[in-house]
Amino acid sequence: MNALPDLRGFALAWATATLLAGFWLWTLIGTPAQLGDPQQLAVRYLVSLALVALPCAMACAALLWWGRAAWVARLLLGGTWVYAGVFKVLGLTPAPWLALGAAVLVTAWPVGTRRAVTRLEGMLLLLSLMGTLTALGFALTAARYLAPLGWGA
Amino acid sequence: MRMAAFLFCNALLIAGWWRLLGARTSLSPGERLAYAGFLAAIQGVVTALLLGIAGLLRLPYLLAALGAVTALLFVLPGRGGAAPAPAPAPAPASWRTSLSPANVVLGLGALGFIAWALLATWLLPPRGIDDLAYHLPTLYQAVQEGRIGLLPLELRPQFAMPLAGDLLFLWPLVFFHADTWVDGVQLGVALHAALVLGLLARRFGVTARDALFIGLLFLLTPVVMLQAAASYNDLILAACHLLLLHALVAFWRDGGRVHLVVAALAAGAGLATKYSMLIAIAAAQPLLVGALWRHGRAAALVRGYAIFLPLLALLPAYWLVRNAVVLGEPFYPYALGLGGLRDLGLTTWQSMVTANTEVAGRALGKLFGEPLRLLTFLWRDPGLGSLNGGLGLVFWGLGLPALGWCLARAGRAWWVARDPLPLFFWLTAPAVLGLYLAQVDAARLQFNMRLVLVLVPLGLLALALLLARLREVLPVAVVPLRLVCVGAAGLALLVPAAATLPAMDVRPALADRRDDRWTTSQHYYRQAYKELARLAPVFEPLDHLTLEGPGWDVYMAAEWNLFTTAPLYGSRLQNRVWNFLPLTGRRPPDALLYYGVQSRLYYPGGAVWPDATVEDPRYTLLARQGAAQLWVARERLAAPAVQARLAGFCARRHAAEIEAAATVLGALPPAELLLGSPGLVHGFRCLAVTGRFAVPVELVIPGREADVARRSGARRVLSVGVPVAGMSSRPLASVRTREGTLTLHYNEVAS
Repeated sequence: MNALPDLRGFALAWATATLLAGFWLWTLIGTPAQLGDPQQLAVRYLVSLALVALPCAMACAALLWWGRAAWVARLLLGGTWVYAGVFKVLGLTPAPWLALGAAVLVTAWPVGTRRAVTRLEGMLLLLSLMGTLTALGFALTAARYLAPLGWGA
Repeated sequence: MRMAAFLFCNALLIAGWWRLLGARTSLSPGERLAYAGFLAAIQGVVTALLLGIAGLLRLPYLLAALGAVTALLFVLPGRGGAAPAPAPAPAPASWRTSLSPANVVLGLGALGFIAWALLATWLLPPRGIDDLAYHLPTLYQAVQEGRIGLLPLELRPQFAMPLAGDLLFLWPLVFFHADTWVDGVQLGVALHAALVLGLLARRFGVTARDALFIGLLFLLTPVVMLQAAASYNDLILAACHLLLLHALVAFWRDGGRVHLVVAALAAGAGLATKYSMLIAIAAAQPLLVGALWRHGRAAALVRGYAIFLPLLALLPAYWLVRNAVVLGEPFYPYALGLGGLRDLGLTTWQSMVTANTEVAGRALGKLFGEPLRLLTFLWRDPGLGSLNGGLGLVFWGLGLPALGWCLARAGRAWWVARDPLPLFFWLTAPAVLGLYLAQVDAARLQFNMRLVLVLVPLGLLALALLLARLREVLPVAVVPLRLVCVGAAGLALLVPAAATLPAMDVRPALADRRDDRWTTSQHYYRQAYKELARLAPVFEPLDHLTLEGPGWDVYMAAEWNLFTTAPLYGSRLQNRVWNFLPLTGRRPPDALLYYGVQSRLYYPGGAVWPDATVEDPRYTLLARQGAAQLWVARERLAAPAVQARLAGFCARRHAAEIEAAATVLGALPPAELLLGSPGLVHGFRCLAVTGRFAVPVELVIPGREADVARRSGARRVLSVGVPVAGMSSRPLASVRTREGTLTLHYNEVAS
């Protein structure tokens, strides 16, 4: 139990990374003509979201429920600050996801934790990123991988 | 027997270098094998190049030259004095320790793919775009002429590109005088690259088990599998780049001069394969400078470059000098400037550039300007499903983040421990990617990701290092990670099954072999991309009819971007491309092939207009498919040997049409000519070839029936499908065919 609070930075970062992936996919839904059948894309989005985001969100919710609710405020505050203060000023309005990602660095990790990230946390963060990217990659290419099996062809 | 001789020759070439390296160096067995294989390939390329320049590129000369040098390698004395101190090579590992369950599964998958690729190579013709358009024609011409020349650049500026990688394809072409095994060359290169990757991983302290793991993952990468079945040269380029990096890392660690020599030759071989190797060479300079400095400061730097630069120049020198002298630009069709290689605007197919306007513009600019769009585009794995790209789930999901992690660690290693090797090594990856994105148009990413194929082995190496770290920090994550890799490799194995560039489905060819319906490998162009598939019905009979004998002179006119000359040579390289023959002394073509809309046809080497051919009584239309036509000289077609082959072709390809035509034979009145455009005409022609139908048969272009009838002088004409305009006609019979029910008409000159 003692080790669990050390993972809060990881959990928040994981959740954020997952949300970013979800956000990417969500933005893809907005351009169905470039990707083909929007219905199929929505299914892919939901599947990928279920694969990575749901467990993430649950882990994050558990941590928040455990008494770390202050992180939400910091995350939102940091996100707003970075978005409004940096990216908006620089004219990079199409990159709110960058703001969100930067917010993680600014608020949740490692400033919020007031300490360096442990190797374990670093590895977990990296693994979560890899899992998210793999899920994202699969969500976007599944039709081409599975075409010989008659899926998405 | 010939294949056994071919394999024996290859083994002998490698054995020569194996022996010399064993006598003069203290390499580990793996490195000795990798270097021996590479040096044998360089020996073959240099020998072919010299013979090709001298106009002596014939199998006996090639064997003699290779044999002489190889014999020398066997008799050269070893290094004198005491035995060299063994290099601090990683501890040897038995095969057994390397065989984890994941490796066994991946190994079985890789073996399955190798068998599949070899089968496809044997049964199917070379069937890519670039290989048929410009990689192979130059080589086919060299095999025929015994000389490496320059084909007409107005047709393909890429004919002027360097050929060191392509000369590897020349070896099976010269040996078998056929294209049967040419697509297998890059498979061998892929295996070599996998070996080098494993050795590089061992140099970084990766266990033998993980080294084998990433080597197998490399083989099972989508773009590697599809490139391994085609005569492109991107795998060769990546293998050269990987070997350059390995040799430099080994040189850094050991200081052995053999590594420096191999690094220089690998850099040169890559540069003489594709000019994009310039990026790799530039990115590897910190490694080289650092290694030389480490082994003797400025003096070693001077000595090292005195070895490196001449060897680097050895292979590309011929093409750079030739292009500078003949074309005025060494890097033709590019120009080298401060901003890198600039396309002179001669090679880009506009249709392809505009095919994807979603992300048009310099890719690097897009990365900063519209990162979301470009990143999502990249994660859709541009080119996946073709040999143009598809770096795979393992790379985009695991390898790329692992590369970032390795870069961060390398930076830390330099900052904390003042060890620059990891940083210099890993910086090559972002350097290659960054320079690539700075050069390439984002719209061409889906065609060009193969140019940075080397990122895949680098990502896999980073992954192996990450696995090693995870075993210390978070061992529970290792097995799931390996499972994800195995799953992704399994998915990747599905990709070739649906690919058309190149097509890998061998079932139709196997069925034809079994049912005695095999004519020639060019029949299976039907499985290729659509532009080539449409040409299959004209390439196939041309190849089949000329398989024996001296071959024909074949003329081609086609739309520029559809101009594909390699198939004209035939699967045994028996035909000559009339367009490429010397203007003086060439006879009229034996066959003519047209493809495309007439107003857009391109006539390199001299115009023979389609309308003139239609009117020319010396030629008859043998095959037609849409906008593709094959005309053959009647004189050639009438030769008994060709008639016999045509009969065989008919039996295999037109059995249904023969059967349909035979149903009405008894009901046909006497006539002097039968003509028409539908497939049923092939049935009558086949019956005529076998002596069962005595009326001459003419396949015609739709709408030209009256012209052909008039020109023949026939007064009584049978026509398939439509009556002949200007003649008195009556329907004669109906025939059920695959194309539907066709009506036979009897036409007479109106009195």
